[in-house]
Amino acid sequence: MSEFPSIRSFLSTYFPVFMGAIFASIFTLVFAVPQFFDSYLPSLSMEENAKYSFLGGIALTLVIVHCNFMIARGRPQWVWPLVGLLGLCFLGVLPTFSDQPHRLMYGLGLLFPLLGLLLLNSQRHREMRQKLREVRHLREAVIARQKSL
Amino acid sequence: MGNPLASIGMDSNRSQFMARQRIESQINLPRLFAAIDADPAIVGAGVVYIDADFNVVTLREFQPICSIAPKRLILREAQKYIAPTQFAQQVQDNPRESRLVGEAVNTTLSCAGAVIGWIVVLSGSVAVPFSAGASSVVVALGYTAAAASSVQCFASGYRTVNEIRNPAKNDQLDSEEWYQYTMIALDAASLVGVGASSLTTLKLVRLNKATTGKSVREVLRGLNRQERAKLTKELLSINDPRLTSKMIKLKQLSGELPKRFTPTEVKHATVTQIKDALGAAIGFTGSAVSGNVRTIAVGLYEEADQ
Repeated sequence: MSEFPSIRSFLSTYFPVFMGAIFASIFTLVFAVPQFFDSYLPSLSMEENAKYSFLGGIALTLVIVHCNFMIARGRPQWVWPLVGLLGLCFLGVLPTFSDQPHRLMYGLGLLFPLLGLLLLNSQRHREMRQKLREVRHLREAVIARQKSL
Repeated sequence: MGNPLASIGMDSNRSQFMARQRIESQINLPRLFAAIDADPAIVGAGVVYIDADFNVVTLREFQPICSIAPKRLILREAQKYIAPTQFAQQVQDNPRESRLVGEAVNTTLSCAGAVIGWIVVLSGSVAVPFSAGASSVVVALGYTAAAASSVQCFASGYRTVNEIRNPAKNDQLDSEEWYQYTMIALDAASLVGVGASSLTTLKLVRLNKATTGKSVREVLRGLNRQERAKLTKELLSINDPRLTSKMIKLKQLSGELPKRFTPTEVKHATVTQIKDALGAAIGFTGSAVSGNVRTIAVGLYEEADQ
């Protein structure tokens, strides 16, 4: 058990990068979703645009939440849907430069997915995913022992 | 040395004095104030009149009854050479800047709420091997809170972006019933999900949001059935001063008068009251356009504290 000294030190080491990746993903959606709807689906009326972009954004946010939850539960392979989503958002925003009235928004729309990918790829995030996987094995062992008793 | 009259609310400038005389003779002020005070959301709001020559006349100071942050109802007369449509557009675009700040503040608060939910999820997951099954419940609750508050974080960020790109989209969302219910459900989920200690923090966040935020949804949620019933009664008696409270009750029982207005009706009724109080001689624009005599815009301004 010496490997996991305390929850507090675990959180202080890994929580910033964990939360940073979540925020980067959420803000990627914040900038990419309205951009996507305005550029690729111009035929939608304003009412439909507002409705579908809002609901679509919420659905994708729930995907992000679930992936991060599974990572926290010790299943590191769930990082791949996140990577895919961030990559898609980046590639989706990239060609919209010509019909983007706000340069800053365009810039942020590209910055956040890259930041998210950088954080997911960082040494500390990898370390955290590994540690969480070990915690899951520990947890499964404890539960199995309780069941056999 | 300033004019001593200014400190007691009299106007120093002659044209302002004339403007005040003119406004007071044209508008039934007690009726206007009664209409404003009948709405709990803006009771005690200050009233400022800006006439066509940009004379700013404070008809009433703000009283901190409805909120601590000052709220002011601003009545603006259009310049004579501006068409009503153009004026309506101008007024609608103007207060957007303060709304952008409001949305950005909301985003920060909801995202801070998300941090708490995720702390619960991560710490709960790490704690499980030591406390075995006990903290699984905590993790499940944390999942609800984290999901709800992350979605809120997205939603408020999305609104901020809309406020820059296309503010009409936010108005569209605000007018949708499903949107209002979704946001209320999310508020509930993010509150239910977290444990007692985090709950106080989230409540504090919500409280701050209530004083800074000013969406229709929040104002409406603040009005429960009893308050709406009370408000209905007051509005009915303003509409027809001859009715005593007993007569109102009798008429409500017989079904002649409504017992309680719906939230939308309340909003509409307030605007109608203000409009009526401004008098028949003056045209009125809220978001729509009317009146060929004189155009007046009504706007509610609040100061967001940060």
